[in-house]
Amino acid sequence: MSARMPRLTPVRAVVAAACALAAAFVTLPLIVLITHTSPSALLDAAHDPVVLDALRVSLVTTAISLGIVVLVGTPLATALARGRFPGRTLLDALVGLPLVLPPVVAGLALLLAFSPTGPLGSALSPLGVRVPLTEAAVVLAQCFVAGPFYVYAVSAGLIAVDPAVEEMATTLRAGPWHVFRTVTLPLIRPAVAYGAVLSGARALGEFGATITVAGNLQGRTQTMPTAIYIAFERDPEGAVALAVILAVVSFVLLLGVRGLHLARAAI
Amino acid sequence: MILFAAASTAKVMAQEIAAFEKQKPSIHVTGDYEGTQALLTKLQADPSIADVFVSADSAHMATAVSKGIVASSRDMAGNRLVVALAPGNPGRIASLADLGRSGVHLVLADTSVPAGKYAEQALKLAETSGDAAKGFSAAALGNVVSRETDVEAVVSKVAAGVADAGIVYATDAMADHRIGSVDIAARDQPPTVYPVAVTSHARAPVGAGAFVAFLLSSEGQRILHDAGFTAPPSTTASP
Repeated sequence: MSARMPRLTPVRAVVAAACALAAAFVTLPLIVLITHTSPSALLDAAHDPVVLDALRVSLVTTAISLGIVVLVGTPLATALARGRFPGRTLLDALVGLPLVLPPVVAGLALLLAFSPTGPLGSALSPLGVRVPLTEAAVVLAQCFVAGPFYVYAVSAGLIAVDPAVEEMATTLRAGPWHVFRTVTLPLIRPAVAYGAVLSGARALGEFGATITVAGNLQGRTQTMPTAIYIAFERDPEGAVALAVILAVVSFVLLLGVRGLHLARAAI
Repeated sequence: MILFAAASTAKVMAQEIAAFEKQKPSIHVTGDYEGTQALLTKLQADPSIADVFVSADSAHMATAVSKGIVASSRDMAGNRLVVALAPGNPGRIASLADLGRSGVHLVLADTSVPAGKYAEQALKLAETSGDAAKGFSAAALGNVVSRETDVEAVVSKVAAGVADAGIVYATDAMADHRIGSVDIAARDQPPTVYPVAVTSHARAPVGAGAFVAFLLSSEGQRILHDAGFTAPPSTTASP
């Protein structure tokens, strides 16, 4: 039984007030959003081919981006946390640059770099590869903007791991990859899950960089956030229905990942 | 005094404001330039947010009238469409009809934006006038790689060379030296009109009225003409 009320100390009162404020701050605008739409508008939106296309584009590109971020971001985070090389601090700060850059500026930078006269675009152009205004540009924008969330989370997780544990495994003649998989990875699993959730959520909601470098074409580069922006100018009520759908899909995904993670932690 | 004006008038409106403020130093005009549809959405949410509204078509102005945002409007100017070309013309485009050729990467404004609606009309007109082959309009729309949220975004994508061509206003092409342009025949031009109105809930109605009068005055019209705008098509009725 834990029915006994804890004594209200000033510290507990401040904590409770902060929790209540934060909960209200996040939920109130969302409740207003949901009450602004009707079940019939939601149903219409859920059957609208534009919405279904946008949802598909958003989920597919986010999945690909997250895969790339994990594949490239994990070794990068390891280097940042463990590496002893000149310029490590500089690299660490560079990785975080997209976090402070306004997304539209990030999109413009990518557009100029990958334009046919840009440094990367001019190298790809002879191979017949065009990146801007394609699905690849959507993924590019998402990786650029969402990647740092994953790298910083995993890097922080790695810093918290006592290197002595890994050294012990190495003295038992385990190879570096074996040590990473069997010793380090289980220890940083919460940081990896946390980073992937943050990064995936950011990629799913990405708008400014995406519309700048990838443009807007239904079924190809039009993501949910772009579709919401376009709908907002055409039919604000329809846009609210779309926004509710994106919020619900995001919430279900978050709940699923967090639930899976908590269940695993409880084992 | 706050001016809400279609994105395609941003540059000329800055000149109009400078000339107007020289005449009436006591009135200060702040301009906000976006796609007409975005401006109208903001006005619908708060009708007193701006004092003067310049729309890039009569349809959005008619909506503003029907929603009580403005009482009546006057036609300020017209415009022409041109085909904007990426630097160096990589798509080797010499006419509107070339936009239907396979492999061309075309950027248009979204159909919710006046410039996007006009562009689609021009494609259809070229097909009916015989300037382009049958099936041209569908072929050109199939070449579209992006629908931008305003005409300025179309210009910037073409100027960056990430698309071969776009359909923009002649005034945009004139104002941006990075892009080339190809004229569209008069018979393929949809009538474009910029109506202007003082909003019904204007907070500075006197200044707003003076600014609209200036836009319609000979000096205001001369500035528009020098920037490449045409006289408004005479047939469009003002509500």
